[in-house]
Amino acid sequence: MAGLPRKRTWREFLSQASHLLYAVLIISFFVYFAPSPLENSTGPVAPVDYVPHERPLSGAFHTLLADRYWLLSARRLEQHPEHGSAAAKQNFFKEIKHILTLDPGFTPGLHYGATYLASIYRDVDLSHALVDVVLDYYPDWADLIIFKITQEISYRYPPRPALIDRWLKALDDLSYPTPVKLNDALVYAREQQAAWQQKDLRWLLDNARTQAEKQIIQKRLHDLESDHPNR
Amino acid sequence: MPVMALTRATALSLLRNGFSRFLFVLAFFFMAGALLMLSFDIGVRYRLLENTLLSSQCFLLHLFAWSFGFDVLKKNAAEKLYVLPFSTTLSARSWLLGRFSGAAILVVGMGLLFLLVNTVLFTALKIETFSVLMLQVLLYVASACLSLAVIFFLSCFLDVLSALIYGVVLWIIGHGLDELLLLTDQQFEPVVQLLVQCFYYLLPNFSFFDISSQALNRLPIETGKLVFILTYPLIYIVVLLDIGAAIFSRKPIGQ
Repeated sequence: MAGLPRKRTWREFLSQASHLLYAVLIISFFVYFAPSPLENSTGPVAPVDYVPHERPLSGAFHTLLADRYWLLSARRLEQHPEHGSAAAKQNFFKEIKHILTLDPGFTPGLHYGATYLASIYRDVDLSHALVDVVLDYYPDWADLIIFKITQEISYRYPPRPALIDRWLKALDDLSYPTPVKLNDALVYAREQQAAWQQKDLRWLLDNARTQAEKQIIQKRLHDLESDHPNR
Repeated sequence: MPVMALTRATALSLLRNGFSRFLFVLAFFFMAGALLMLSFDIGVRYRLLENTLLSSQCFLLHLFAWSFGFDVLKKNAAEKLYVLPFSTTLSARSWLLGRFSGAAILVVGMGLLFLLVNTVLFTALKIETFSVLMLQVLLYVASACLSLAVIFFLSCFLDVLSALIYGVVLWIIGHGLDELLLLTDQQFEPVVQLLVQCFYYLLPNFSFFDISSQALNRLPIETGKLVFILTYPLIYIVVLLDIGAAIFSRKPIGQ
């Protein structure tokens, strides 16, 4: 009988079947419990073109790379303090966007970048785009949606009610207590915009990374205070 | 217990190796480098010290795992130790487990040493809520052990150098898997998405172990996710070694 395939016994068959069962169980465990970055991705966030080439190749060193970019961007601004041009604005946005892609939890960077874009460059859309980069990674982070609403009310006149309404609905979906009613938001925007902008600029001044940034912020604050001396 | 004896022998032979001592010295140089960050105001203000310390420890733990793995496998080939499961009562599974755990124990020991150093340092510098940073170091240890298991698994059907190279390449690929999944979800065809999803769940996914963004910025981590991350390497290592032993026991001696 040598050379002919031996007939398998029931015991051998069951042993092989149990291996198959193990495999199915383990794969279902991975697929069912594995945290996927796609969960909740259909939430309030619009897709953002966010993957710079550094991220997949950086191994486990995203955060260290983000810190390096943060230091470099501050130094670059110190050496070339041009501002006001569209190119300078785009450069600033891209730098902070890359930093946040590498380290989405870097909240000081996000608040600084988003507030700088809204206050100094007067571009609320780019400021929202920065927040969207982080929301893409953490779609349940309600504080960031509130930050977007605050930015909209503080820097755009009149603020867009459709957008605010959408964000309030997103907060509602997250079972987060609504911070403000839509009508109140529009009233706040009319009455308190200048005061909020001044408050933001003072915060920026306290947290300015370089002397060049400090001068730009001071100039902006001076302009705003001369426009609204009573605030 | 033959597995225990094998583990002990492997760990001791690795400790006697000169290269291991060099790695220990390198580890302390890296930590001294991280401490230099203290001289920058911006380093203290924007968590650069913790970041540098964590990243250097991650790099070192993986370097340890790869060099220990290479050393053990090289010794297997040079001294023809792989005949043991065929010439003694030792099973292929116990053989592989003993050799793996000998190297893994040293990686875990190094991780514990890092944890101790970090605790002393962070307490002395009054850095608040560093327990998440500790968790990240533990996850790096788990990641290094999984990478070691991948190299041992590959060595069951590849030669030593190829197993090491493919193991390191799989580690790099495993780190980019979450990014790849997000990218394909937004920009590619459904077929590619399905393929990448298969990769995401079947290949060793090292992106699970990277919670450095949450750890450094003290953001909360979901309990369910944490339980999964801590269970994942254990199951994956057991499965890899089991399949590896099955392949190894069918291999003709000397190949």
